[in-house]
Amino acid sequence: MNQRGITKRIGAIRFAYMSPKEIRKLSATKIITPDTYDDDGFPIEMGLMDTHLGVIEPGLRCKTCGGRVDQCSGHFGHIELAMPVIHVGYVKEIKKLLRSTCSDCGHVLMEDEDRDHFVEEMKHLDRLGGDSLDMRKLAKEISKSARKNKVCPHCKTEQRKIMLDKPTTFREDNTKLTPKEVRARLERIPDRDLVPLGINPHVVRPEWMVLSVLLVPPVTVRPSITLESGDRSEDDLTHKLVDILRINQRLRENRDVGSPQLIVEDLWDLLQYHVNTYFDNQTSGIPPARHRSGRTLKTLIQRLKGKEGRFRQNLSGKRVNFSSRTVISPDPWLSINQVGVPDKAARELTVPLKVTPENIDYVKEMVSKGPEPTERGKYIAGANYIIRPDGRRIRVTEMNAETVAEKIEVGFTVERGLQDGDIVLFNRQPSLHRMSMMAHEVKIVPGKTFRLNLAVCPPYNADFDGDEMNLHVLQSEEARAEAKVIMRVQENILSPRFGGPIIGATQDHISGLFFLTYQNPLFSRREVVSLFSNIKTENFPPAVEIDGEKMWYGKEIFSHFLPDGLNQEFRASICETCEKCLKQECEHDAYVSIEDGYLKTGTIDENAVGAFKGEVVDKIARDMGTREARMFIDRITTIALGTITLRGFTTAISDEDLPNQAVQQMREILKKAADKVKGYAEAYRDGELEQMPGRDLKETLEVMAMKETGKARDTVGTIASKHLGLGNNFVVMAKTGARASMLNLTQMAGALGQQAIRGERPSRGYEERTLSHFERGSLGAEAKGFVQSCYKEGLKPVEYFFHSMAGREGLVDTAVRTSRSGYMQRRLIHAMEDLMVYNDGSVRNTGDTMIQFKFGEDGIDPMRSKKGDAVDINDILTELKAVKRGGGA
Amino acid sequence: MGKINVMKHAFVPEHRLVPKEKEEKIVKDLDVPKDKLPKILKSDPVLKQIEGVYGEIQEGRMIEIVRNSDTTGEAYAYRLVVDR
Repeated sequence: MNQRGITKRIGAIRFAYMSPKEIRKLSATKIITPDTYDDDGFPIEMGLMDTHLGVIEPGLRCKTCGGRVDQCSGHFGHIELAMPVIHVGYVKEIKKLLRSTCSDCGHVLMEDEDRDHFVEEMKHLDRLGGDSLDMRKLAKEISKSARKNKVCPHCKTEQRKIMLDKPTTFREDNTKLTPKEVRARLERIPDRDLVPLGINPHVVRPEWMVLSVLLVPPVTVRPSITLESGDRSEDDLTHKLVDILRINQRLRENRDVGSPQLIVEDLWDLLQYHVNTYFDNQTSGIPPARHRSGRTLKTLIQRLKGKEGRFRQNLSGKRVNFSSRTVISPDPWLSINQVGVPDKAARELTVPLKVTPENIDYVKEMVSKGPEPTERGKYIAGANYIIRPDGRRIRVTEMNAETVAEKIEVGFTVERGLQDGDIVLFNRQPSLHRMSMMAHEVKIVPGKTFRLNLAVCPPYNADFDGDEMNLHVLQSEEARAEAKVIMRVQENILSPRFGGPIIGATQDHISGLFFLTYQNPLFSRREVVSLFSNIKTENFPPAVEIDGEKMWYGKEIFSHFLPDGLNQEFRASICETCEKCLKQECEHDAYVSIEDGYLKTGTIDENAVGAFKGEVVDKIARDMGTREARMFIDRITTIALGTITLRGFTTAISDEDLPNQAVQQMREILKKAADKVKGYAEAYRDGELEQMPGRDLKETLEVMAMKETGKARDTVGTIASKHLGLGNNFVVMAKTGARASMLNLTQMAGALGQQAIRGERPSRGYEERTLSHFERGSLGAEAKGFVQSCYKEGLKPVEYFFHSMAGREGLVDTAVRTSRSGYMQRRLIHAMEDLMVYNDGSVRNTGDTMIQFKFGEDGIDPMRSKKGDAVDINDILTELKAVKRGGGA
Repeated sequence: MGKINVMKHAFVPEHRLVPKEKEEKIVKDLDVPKDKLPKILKSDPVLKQIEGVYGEIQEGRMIEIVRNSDTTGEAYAYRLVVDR
């Protein structure tokens, strides 16, 4: 089978520091010259590009293992440092050790008995199953208690304070400790004193934290690139290593000829700087090393850290094959389970097909047609590659198709293009919940875009203003089966996020169903035929005879798609929440009552079928199964679009027209509110304003002003809606929940109302006033952002300015919120990624530690709950009523 | 400053010491080894407080916590007393 990898079980992994001995043993060559290539472009011996370290150019052979470019993964080298330097990554540990051990004799600063006591405690912790984190915590405490002794209990030497000058300079009472001295001190710590400090002396000696030898990574880690001009460009790491080698050489020379101490020390510090930046070029306290162009160098830590680092970019996430990405567009004729794949993409994406005695003839015929067969101009799947059992791939072309097809035997694999019905995964970023990636059935379509049904926009949060989505082709039978069972769109109609449907009708679907069912309209034969022509159906709903013509009721048509045995009662979205609900007798036709799959009363709108809210979709998915729910959504959305197409639907500026008398009334209300605020402001100035509990005078004024202006806008809104009823298309959208809200209408036809910045009336700007148009200290409504104009009439310049202020705040808020909540979610995911709900309902982590005794304390699966509740009492009562009636389940 | 009784705080749920003879049954019902239970420090202020009722609580004993839960009304949790 797979000959490429040899698998072995990893018994244990141990992380430790590298000893100089180990580094030298690992090293393939010592590196002494800072030069890389000679004049002929060949790597210099004992240079940074020495071929002992591996090869990056084709043709050359590695001098260590003899391998070529693709065979040799490279070997490490080493640099002998003239003087030791401190490793930046270990300064904290060094500081801890220096502070808790004697500067003279190296013993840990405590009596032997105390030390042994702590060692015992550590062993105890280990027996209790403490992990490395617990250990580190204990070691830290021990070191803390050792530090308290100012005099060494062993040699009675007085201890002086050791300070760390970021990043790598140690000072003892303001005299500098050279790395050499630090190293000497670490060497003096006896093995048995290391144990209580959290170091295993059998594995690590602390003096290894001061480098005397530097490991040089293989050239394959830092390959040089050749530009078109023929110039060589070296990797950042190589540049840094060159710096280190240069200074190292100068330091050695100066030291050997006995230069003044000052010069040697300066060079030593410089070497320390270069080694520091070689490891981490972003340590605080030192300027980052830069490229000649001024760009900061990307050294070791920068390669690993952060979003673009090795871990997050290349290890946790990778680019994959058998995937594609393009713009999405809507297609109401597809089922929610389907995805439209353009033929161009379908030819490129492949599914492996194992050749068996059963399918060999079929496969041979398919391959013989070549890679891009068509049938009367229509797409049919072709084969791109055949793979022999020995792993050899043969590309199928127009030319060789027939001959290749002949050669196919049982056991071969054929990579064929996509065809209708293939299972693929479809995804839109950001993938914020599990419905962001669902399994769809392929439907080959012309054009260049992926197509999807509008009802699946909500789970993906997709629209068609240029959104792109990704598609992944599953490659194994197991994957396809699994995806079909748990990832298919229909299996995700109910969301685990809030125990309700996340897939359902949106926008025009909802308006359409409103026109189909509101006040039960009649449809002519022509209309009904037009509606049903889009749908597969065996029978029609019953008709009524009016004036010798066959007519159909809208509710009758809708009921046709409700499953038998469905019993439901709920309030529609258009419900006016009257004081006393008349239920079935509702004069607004807003009380939905379904008996045995028949819509008796009520209007179908967002509360019945909408995404996030649809009660009917919810109940069908719950009680009748996901297949039934999918068919229901597919069919009612089609019918809805048919209905709205028959009627026609638009909204225009005239939808916001109000009678003169109403406009007059609104103006008066707004004026009155402004006057009232003015009155408050005057009362405030005269000190006559009555203070509210828990607020000072100024706050009282603000609260009262906000309340007054808010009330004014509400009244304006009610006046507007009194004059505009369900005969108005905009009102239809707002009330049914298809799009927009009544507030939008108020702002277009009435007034924008009070503009708020940080929840308060605008206050900043000029001295004691918001704009230079107002008097100083003015606190009236107009001066504080009360906009009395509406969008339709247009805003006054000052009003426009306040509106822009509030608008800007909104934009900034969303920008800040998304980035912040994104990071918050990332941290949550990391905190919970190893938690699992077990069969007994308990939540435990991978260490089998109990986290929660029962999931959510009640053990309820939120996906199967009704908006979080385990039991839906209302539903049970309706069902019981149905049983009593003699119908129902 | 007088000692504050943390148990009186609205956010601190009820804590009880589990009688030794009941421990085995609870551990069996939960199907979890005792050392995999969540921990509570011996030095926890709540333990200090209920030691006034039960006397000194040894390391290795179990504490039952009864929380008010939005989902179930009352939720029971168990913690193992540890030192440090």
